[in-house]
Amino acid sequence: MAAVLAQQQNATPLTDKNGNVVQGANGKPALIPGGFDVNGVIKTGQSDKELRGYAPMVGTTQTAEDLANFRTGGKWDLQRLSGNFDPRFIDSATILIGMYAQSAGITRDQILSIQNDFAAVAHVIHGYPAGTPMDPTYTYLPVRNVTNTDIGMRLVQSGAISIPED
Amino acid sequence: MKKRTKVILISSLAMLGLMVAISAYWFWGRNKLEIQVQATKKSPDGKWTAVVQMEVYSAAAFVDEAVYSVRLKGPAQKDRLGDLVMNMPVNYPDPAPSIDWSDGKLVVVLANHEKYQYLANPVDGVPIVVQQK
Repeated sequence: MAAVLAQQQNATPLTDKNGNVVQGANGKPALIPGGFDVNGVIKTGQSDKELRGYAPMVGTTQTAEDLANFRTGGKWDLQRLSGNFDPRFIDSATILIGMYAQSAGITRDQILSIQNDFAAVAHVIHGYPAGTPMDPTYTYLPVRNVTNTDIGMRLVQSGAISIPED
Repeated sequence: MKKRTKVILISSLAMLGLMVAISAYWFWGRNKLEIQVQATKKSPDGKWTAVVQMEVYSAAAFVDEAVYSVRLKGPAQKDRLGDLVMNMPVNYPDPAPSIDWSDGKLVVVLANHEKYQYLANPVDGVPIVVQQK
């Protein structure tokens, strides 16, 4: 039941390839932990998509494994890279999910349905804070999560964030 | 429906199902509520302690909802976390609400642009005053 802020970790704004700062769902600059390799996540997504193209079962398993990196405390859980919850990275954590999903060829409905299913379980266990605005379609997801997922997917879809060609 | 469309549809559904099943297996035990107490103020009559705490509702993967909660704790509290007065979304770098007691009322102060998403007034017979500065 204890969480400790870990604000000693550096935070830098998430920027697109033109250097524009990405705004999170809360209208403020989305911050990422200093040194975190966003391009690496996109590259992994692209690789998972390719793998599913020629080896569907292996590719699907790999995709599931990589999605597991977003689990609480996982290596892509930006909010807990320091080991403790860090509120600076709430928005970017979900933006990153959208970026991975888009690059991995996972549709908006698929990624939001997966998130929704997990949230449904959590909802049964401890509910949400009173007054949390919820999405009308993915009813176990706060609007903030859906908006941030969309922001991440759009960044990759539009080419605003893309990894350089080798 | 064409055979190719059927195959794509079935593959997509199988992929979704497999991802959910594997992930659910891995993540089931990770749902939790994290709490960090930010401030406490005991009422002058000693009946209640007002607290501001950051509450992080984690859904094991993908979803975290974090709020600053103002709660009243004391022997008569009905909620194990403390009786809820206010929830405000955590939006870094906005500060947490501050609290004080004045004339038997709990005064909650928010920064000028901050908005709460839930407010109860009164709570346990304690009137709540919200100020924005």
